[in-house]
Amino acid sequence: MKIMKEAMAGSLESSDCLIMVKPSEKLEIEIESIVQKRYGKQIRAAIEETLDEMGITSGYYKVQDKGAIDYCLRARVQTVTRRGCEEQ
Amino acid sequence: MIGRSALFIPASSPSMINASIAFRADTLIFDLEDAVSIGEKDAARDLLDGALGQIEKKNLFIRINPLSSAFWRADIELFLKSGSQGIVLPKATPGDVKSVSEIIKQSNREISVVPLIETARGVEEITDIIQCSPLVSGILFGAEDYCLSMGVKRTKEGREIAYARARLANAAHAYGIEAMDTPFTNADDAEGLNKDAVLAKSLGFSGKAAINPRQIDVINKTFSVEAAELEQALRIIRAMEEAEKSGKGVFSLDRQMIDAPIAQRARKLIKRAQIWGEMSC
Amino acid sequence: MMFLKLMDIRLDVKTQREMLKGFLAEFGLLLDEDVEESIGLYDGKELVAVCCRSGKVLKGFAVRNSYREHNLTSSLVSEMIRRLFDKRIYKSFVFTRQKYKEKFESLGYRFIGQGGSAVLLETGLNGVDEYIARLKEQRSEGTVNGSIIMNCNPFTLGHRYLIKQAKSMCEVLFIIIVEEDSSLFPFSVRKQLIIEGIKDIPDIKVVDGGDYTISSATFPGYFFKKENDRIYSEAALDVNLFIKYTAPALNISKRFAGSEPFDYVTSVYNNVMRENLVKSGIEFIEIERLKSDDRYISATEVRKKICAGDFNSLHKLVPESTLNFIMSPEGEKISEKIIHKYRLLGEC
Repeated sequence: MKIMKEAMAGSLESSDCLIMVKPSEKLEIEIESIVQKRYGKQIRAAIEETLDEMGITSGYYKVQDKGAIDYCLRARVQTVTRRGCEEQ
Repeated sequence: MIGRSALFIPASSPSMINASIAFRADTLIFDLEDAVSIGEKDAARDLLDGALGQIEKKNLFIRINPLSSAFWRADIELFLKSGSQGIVLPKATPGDVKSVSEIIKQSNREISVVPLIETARGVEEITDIIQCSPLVSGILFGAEDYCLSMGVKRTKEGREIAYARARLANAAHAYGIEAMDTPFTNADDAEGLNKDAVLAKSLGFSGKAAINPRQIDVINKTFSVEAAELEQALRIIRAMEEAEKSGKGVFSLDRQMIDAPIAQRARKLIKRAQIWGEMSC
Repeated sequence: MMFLKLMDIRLDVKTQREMLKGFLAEFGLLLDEDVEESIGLYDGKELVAVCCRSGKVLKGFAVRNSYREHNLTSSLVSEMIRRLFDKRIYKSFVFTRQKYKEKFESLGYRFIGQGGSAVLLETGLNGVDEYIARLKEQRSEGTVNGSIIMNCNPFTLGHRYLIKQAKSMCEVLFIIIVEEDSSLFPFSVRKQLIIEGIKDIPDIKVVDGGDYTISSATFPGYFFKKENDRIYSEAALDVNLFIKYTAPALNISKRFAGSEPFDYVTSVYNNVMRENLVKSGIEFIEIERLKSDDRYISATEVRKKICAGDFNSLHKLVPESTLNFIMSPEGEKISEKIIHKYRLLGEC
């Protein structure tokens, strides 16, 4: 699968995260989190792992995290990726 | 078993899903239907898929989208994968209940199907709906849509739903399943909720749905087995056991004949009390 | 933990529109005419929070005091971002008062500019950084660069005159075209007619204005031509963005504009430019417009003639390329739109 178009998923509500994607040659993940200091690494790891499972190697991901726990991050990555991979 | 209270949780909201663990509702119904807008069904399924594996709680139900929509198959796939206990089927018809039961009976676990009765037709066909699948363990009444289908105005007093309530409660008792009453839509009106719940219980409902966690305590209290009732039921069972020991088929308690139906009712009551925590035996 | 319901407030339903106006008024806010869409959060039947949208710009935020702690703005903004994505618009702006800047920054919005007491923030994909990167591809080093921002609805001999005058005062001239598609001649046509109309003049670069030069985000008043206090802060914001982003990206040291004898908004804009550009070391030069038969040539004049069916004298106002377009089948369609609009306004 490959990101073919712009897409978003999630929200800015607390315990959620909002992710936007657009096509890009390489894989770029930009994360902004309210818990960056404590959980920044785990958040990135969860996102990269989910993308790896989905076979995504390119695309620009902009993640705004409002304290989403692991399952929510992964779910949002899955949704936005599927939306971004759909036919135009 | 659904129990006394069943709280709807919007499947699209992580904060509410996270908080749901702390709610004291007997059953949680994760809602993929009304609470989720059409463009967000996919996101809600992904979220629920991840969340259900993490919630250590019994009695998790999923309200799927109606069979007239394009979403229900994916909802059922998620349901089967999730390991949750029950499925709430909106705008249920006998045909819908049959189709859904056919698909989900392949899974090896015990599953409840709870048809949501929210049309005039559904009320009339209630016996067919209950009888068409052994998986139907309870029914849930949805008064808002029911009133739309009747073209009548929904009021707080609820005279317009008196017939439907009585009919559904009667049918549920006739077939030995649970009957859940419609939610009370004003979450701020605790007194109104209490009245409404007491009325539903008096008609024969076993519990009531909730749309706000604030409503749970009132509902649980109303539909709990009362201490005196429980005491009486325990006495009946004890007397029956003694009668059996001494070889008597029929016996009396407080100068009243106790027959099989009374004994059965007492057993059911004790079971409810055991499950929903009024009794710690 | 709030169980609130999000619903559309239908602006085409009078009772709902009035209700929204009343709600906004409680917070000292007005319902702007350009609002396309409005959503509200309800607690039961009671409206407790609203947000409005016009194009890419979110505005008219109001949350009842007793609900402030619940961060309802985050729900409203999320829903609007979602709706914009559905419309294939991947960014949004918030035009708000200074005191709410931090609130929106906490929702991922990035501050991009200020005018008076108003601030502009943006979020989403393809923000101001991408815009600057695109501009830099056209950058010219070691030359005296000037710029002129034009809408050209459509391109006239007056525009051509301004460009020639401006070009005589610099080495490379950037024509920045207003990209917003709220003019009768669409952006692609306006751009094409400019390119054709100036192709004999060397060292001119035509640049798209994007969202950052006279757009509905930076300068909504420009498109509504309304006289109010906000025009000043909007004009100041627009000029500040030019100073902050466009001018350094393109290495611009001069900005030109046609003198404005008639239009209130444009004359305010020119005044604001005169005040602010010089302070930032950018020269501002106002050029007197070209006249024909003792009247200033303007695009408005051209549209009026089209409306009156007076095609014979158009050649005095527009170059051949524009005239050819107006007479083409595609041009005829636009002429019909012009006639329709002007009749509605009673100006034709």
